[in-house]
Amino acid sequence: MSAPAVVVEDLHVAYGKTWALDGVDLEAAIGTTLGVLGHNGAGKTTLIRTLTTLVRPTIGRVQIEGLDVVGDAIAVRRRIGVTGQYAGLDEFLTARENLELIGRLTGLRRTARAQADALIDRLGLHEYATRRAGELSGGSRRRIDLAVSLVGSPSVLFLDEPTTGLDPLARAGLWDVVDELTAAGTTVVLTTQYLEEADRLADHIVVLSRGRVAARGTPTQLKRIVGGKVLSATIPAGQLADLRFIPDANRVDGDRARVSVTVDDATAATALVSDLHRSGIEITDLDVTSPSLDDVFTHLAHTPGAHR
Amino acid sequence: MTTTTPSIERRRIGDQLAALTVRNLRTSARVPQLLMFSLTMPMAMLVLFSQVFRSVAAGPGFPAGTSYIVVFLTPAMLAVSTVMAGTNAGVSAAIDHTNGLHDRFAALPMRAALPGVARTINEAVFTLARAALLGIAAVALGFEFYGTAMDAVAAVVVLVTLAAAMSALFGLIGDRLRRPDVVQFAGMMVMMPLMFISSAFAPLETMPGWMQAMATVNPVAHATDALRGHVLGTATAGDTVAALVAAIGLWVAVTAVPVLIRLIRSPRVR
Repeated sequence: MSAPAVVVEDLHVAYGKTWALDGVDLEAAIGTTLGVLGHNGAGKTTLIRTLTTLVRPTIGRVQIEGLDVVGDAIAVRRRIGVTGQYAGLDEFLTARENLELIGRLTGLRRTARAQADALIDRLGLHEYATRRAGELSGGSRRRIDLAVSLVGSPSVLFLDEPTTGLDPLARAGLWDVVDELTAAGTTVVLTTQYLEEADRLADHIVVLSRGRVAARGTPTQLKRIVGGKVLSATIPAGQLADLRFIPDANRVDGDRARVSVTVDDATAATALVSDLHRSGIEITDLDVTSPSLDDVFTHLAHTPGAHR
Repeated sequence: MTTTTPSIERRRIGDQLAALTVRNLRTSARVPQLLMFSLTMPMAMLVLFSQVFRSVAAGPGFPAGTSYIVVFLTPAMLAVSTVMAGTNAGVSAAIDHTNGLHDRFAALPMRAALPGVARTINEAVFTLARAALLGIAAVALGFEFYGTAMDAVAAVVVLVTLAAAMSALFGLIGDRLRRPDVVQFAGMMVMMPLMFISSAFAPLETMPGWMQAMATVNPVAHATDALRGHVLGTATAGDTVAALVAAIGLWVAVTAVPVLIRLIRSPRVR
């Protein structure tokens, strides 16, 4: 088995007296997508900034393809692409000029123009090619920013909340690009607050909480943390008080209420539905699903540190 | 780990610097309002100040001739407008922080100093353009150059060196404060003493002792004296060297600050 593309060992990063990262260990295998989840302030962006050589580790070791992010920073930068939380574009330059600029700074010289055109084709950015970045919407700028991060064909790509501000169509387009990249052997490290996105893209997930790893595993493994099945039913709002159990969540919409509860398995779900029926609860809609990452996230928020 | 020969590395740095310089020039050219005000500001100042200081020119001890005030003020306007325009470098550095471009550059295989060097080249180009326009306006107001061709060359060198020092100083302020609006106010605070603790508007001998002491390390004061001397044909080699040393000294001090901060902030334990 080949060495991991990204290795983080005992990483601590301090800002003054605050530990933004407090002992993080993780790895990302070559050609896979590592999803980093966490609430605001969990340390996701600090992790990405450390992995991309922008922040020095206070304690610990970080390697990208075997190169140390401090000692071999320039060599690391030749291998990585970064899309930060804000589109890093010159707003007075067009999309093509931004791509060419980064191409030349990456060392592409005469091929910078050709690669800019290739990325415009690949990501369908023709309508922005000759327009200044400052004239475009936030979502359009994010798409150009992604294209810029692909200049130089990096082998490790870091995406810090890349789909924030994108419409569903653009988001799906970005997901397809990530799929293509990993299929071609690119390693992707992705932070996101959209659990659906991590579920769709990530081979492995690390959940950060207060600078520490709260949980890790594949999406399936993480969903097992919650376990069982999630039963969701729509009932008359007036019957909420008649329930013999306390739902994990309920949402009242007019005279209807949507209630959800976690049960051990499908048999328990069936028994619960029978119980509701016997109690005279009128069920108008019913779903029995496996837990989503949203359920995992909610669960971890209530039991931090229990699943490292 | 990849290794590169020095010649390849030099060529790469040259390419990167050329790309960044073109980007800066292109960006400056695409903000016509900034371009117009930046280039015409010293002309407007010269016209205004030559009228305001007419009474000074009419006083005792000032050479006769109504246009002499223009000869006296033009070098000062060159130096002062170079300081004022230097704040553009600070604002553009801060804008790179707010729009995420600074981080993108920092994550590229590129020397950290290159964006600042490109800003300096940009400022030098615009300083020369401003000087040319100011020269035209000054001649229209009666300006005469009393120096030699060597004086003209030396004046250009002094002016460009001052522009580089100001670009580095305000660029550092932009990099540290990271907000264009804050940089503009901070720039004013720095700009005022640089401009007024000099002989640009009044003789240094008329100022309090502490101001005269500060003027000895003020590159704007030395540049104003040297430029005025070259225009009048009275400058000595010492005047030119003092102006260059003061500007280069400030540039070195400003360039050393980020390096020192990086060294202090490298508490890597393991």
